[in-house]
Amino acid sequence: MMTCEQVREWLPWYVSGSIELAEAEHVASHLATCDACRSEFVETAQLRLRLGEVAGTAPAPTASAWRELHRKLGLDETVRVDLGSALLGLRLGIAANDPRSPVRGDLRVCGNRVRVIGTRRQRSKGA
Amino acid sequence: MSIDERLLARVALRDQSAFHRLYERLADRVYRFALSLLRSPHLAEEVLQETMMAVWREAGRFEGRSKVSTWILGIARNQAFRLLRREEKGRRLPEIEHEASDPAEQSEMSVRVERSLDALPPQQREVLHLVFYENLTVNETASVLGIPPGTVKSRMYHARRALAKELT
Repeated sequence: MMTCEQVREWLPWYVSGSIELAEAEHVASHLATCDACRSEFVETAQLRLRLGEVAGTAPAPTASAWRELHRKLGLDETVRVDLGSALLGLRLGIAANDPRSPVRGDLRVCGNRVRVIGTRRQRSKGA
Repeated sequence: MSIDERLLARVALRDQSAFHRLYERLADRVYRFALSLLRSPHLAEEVLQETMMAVWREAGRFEGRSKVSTWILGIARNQAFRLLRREEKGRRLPEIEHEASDPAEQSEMSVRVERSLDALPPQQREVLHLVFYENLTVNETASVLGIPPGTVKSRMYHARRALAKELT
């Protein structure tokens, strides 16, 4: 059997449902017989509710957080568009990761890669 | 193996799409935890970025002794305190920032709660957040904070006493 002091120590985890079943049973049986601890239980539950409301309405991270992280790590995120003609065996591939970043491209003629002059290449960084 | 564990294993192999998915799953929680500690959206976002950069670099060191989210919250905690020390040492600590919101929409009680939280030391705010918002057990909270379970209970006790005075 738990003392009042022990029960009150466990109340935050009891109201959050993050307590082992054995301890929860001890707390529950104590609360059934102790008015003072039951009052403390109600107070703790109200506190959790109020803090949860405040935390739940906190702002989310901004949309630019991911882009900034991406930039800091130098990760490569590529969208690739292929243009050309299957009939002529001509294919032009263009890839870009950001409107501000250089576009890179390659040209294939009948399956052979032909060097494209005039575009800048961006090397993918692992980390 | 949980979804987060599978994603983290792929992140360790430099899988960027897995990293993005892990970010989408956990960014909000990391950010809110940092916000509860630092009380500044700007600094909380910095912690989020530093934390996820560490996750990208250190994913291979995860040993599976805790949940992935607990491991990441632990990293966020270290980053937040590193940032707090930096701010205290180098520059003035920024004023507590609250998002500008319509006062009519913010209840009197939530204003009181915010003010009461501002008055608590960060070591008590983090315990309140992890237990009441993240629903972590005593041992999980201790693991994130790197302190004994008894200290978690003691910090929770003092935080509750301080808030009860202000809010009831």
